[in-house]
Amino acid sequence: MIRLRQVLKRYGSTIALDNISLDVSTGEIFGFLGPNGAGKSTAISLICGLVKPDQGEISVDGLDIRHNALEVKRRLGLVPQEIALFDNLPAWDNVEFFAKLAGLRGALLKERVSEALEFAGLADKAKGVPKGFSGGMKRRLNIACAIAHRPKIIIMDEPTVGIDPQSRNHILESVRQLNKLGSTIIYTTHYMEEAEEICSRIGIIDHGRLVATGTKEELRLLVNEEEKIVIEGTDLNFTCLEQIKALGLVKDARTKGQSLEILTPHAQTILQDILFILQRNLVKVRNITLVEPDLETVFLSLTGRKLRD
Amino acid sequence: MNILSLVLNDLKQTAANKVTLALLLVLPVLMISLLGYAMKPVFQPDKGLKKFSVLYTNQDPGPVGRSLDSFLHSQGGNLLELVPVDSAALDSQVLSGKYPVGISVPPDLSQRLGQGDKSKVEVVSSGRDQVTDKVVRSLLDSFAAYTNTQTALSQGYQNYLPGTQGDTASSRAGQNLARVQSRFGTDFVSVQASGPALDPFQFFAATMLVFFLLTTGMGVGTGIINERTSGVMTRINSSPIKRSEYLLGKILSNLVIALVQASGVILFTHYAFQVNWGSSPLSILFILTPVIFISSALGIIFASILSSAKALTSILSIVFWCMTFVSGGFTPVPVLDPVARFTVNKWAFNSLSSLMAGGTLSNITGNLLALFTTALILWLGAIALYQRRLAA
Repeated sequence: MIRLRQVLKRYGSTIALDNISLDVSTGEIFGFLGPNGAGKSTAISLICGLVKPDQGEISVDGLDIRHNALEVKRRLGLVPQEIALFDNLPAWDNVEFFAKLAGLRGALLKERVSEALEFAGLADKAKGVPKGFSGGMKRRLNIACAIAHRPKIIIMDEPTVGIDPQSRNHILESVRQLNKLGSTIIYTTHYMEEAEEICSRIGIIDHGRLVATGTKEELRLLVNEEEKIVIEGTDLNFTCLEQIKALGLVKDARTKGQSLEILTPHAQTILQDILFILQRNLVKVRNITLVEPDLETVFLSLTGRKLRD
Repeated sequence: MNILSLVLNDLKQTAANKVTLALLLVLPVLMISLLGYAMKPVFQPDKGLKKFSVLYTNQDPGPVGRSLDSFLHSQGGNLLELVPVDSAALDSQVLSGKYPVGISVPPDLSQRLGQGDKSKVEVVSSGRDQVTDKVVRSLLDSFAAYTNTQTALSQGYQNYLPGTQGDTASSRAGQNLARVQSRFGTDFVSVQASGPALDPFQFFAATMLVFFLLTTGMGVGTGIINERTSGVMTRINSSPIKRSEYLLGKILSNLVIALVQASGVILFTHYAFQVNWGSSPLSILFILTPVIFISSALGIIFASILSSAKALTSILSIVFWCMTFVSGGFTPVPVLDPVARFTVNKWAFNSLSSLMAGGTLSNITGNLLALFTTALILWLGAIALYQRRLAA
């Protein structure tokens, strides 16, 4: 459905995307996972034809975007990261405007606008203006504007930023439903939990490079040999953390509240040394757990930094 | 159809903002009314100047006395208010300071001049009001020069007129003067560079119309910046429309808004102040269209350079106010005339005022050419900068 080959994009001297190749199949929910500034939005802009690549090829639904930009755009629905709405126009007018730009007219236009507002749970707010809406309602309207013309591909750029858990769950459920209705979805996020929850495949992106792609299971296999030790205790301090990091087999160590998280390929071997350091630094240990690597661990292992660094 | 959707959407947004809508329609007519009334005296200098009150006593019943009387009332009537006074009281009234200057004509003025003797009109001044003093002296000097010239001419003609020998010098002078005056007439020809003078409401209706049409470009600029920063432009650009359609939509919506504003100004000033806009609405449209295109282009250029709608509004406000001020849009006199000739305001104003004075399209082709050329150049720049900004 979507195919990128050796795509390079520069902004001045900064390389935003560095020779990315990617395939997204029909019916997938493909997640771009990466921290802010990793290149997710640039990848989306390229797929939507908003910017041109400096190098490489992009095709959508078999159409080369350079030569068929308008045809490609007819197949797309973009949910931008910003709440891209006309604040002083009613919700109905907002959805109707973008549906018109996508080519809908007449009775079909009205039917689809109504359907999109219904889908977003805003049917009763059709005459309301977004400036009077809550953050979650605006986000849902933002999605409604992108789906009224029933696009084959829906691209969502961090659609859940800054909203309450209830609205977030509503949006995630909407994404699943849209996918069930037949849309292929590209979903960018820096929330690991979201990617794990809804994406059928995930591409991990960092510093403009696609570090890895695959299903959650495939990605976990990449770091299967690594384990995460989580130690809960009191009086954890910087000196103790530095001493643990200095141990040869420790790949990464961080504090998270009253917990200490250590990533290592040899948990059993190193655990004794860690406990000795903690004892020496007068840390009272309450609980020790060995956990399976999650996407956060995968990202940390592949890039050497956390998703929200 | 996409362009129509873009235009309708822009118009809906403008209509939804009641404050903006009110300002668009009310502010121009308010400015025209205020400036029209405030600057009225500048357009009517005679009524605007306060007359000088001058004491006047004329004791000469002869031709020169009557002539001076007539001269002061006709030539000095716009400037002087002659207050009749008894000759004995003239000096004391001037000295009292009630009147700055007094004119006293001696009883034997005509007689003495007729006999070839010298005689003088007396100007009594307290010296307190130099302006009145000089105006009176200047008027009397003019009269003296006129009288002396006529006398000299009449004397000079004596040798050429048969059958006058033996007459007295004064009767000959009188006859000759009459002959000369009957033969030597003067035609007054009014020469005005820009047709009949405009009244203040005509003037400000034209200048403010141009000014407010230019400011509509700020709406285009701020609209583009707001759509860019809110992500709306990203969404629009991801829709199957061309960039040219987007820009065309912007200018057409601005054209509609500006023409509604212009119609409001024209109708209001026509009915409220009897402003005559000429007989050709099509010619007015020819003038306003390039002005609107220029304003849109400036809006797009600044929207491509700047990132903040507030900065754009501030900068373009300064640009438009300066252009209007320099072109003399706020005052009937251009501040920097050589520069004013190269402002959009001046070209548009000259064209509109020409139509108001009964001119036709053929009279304003030069100005129209300047306006359309400027619009074209600015649009080429606007498209180039807009494309560059999108690619960045």
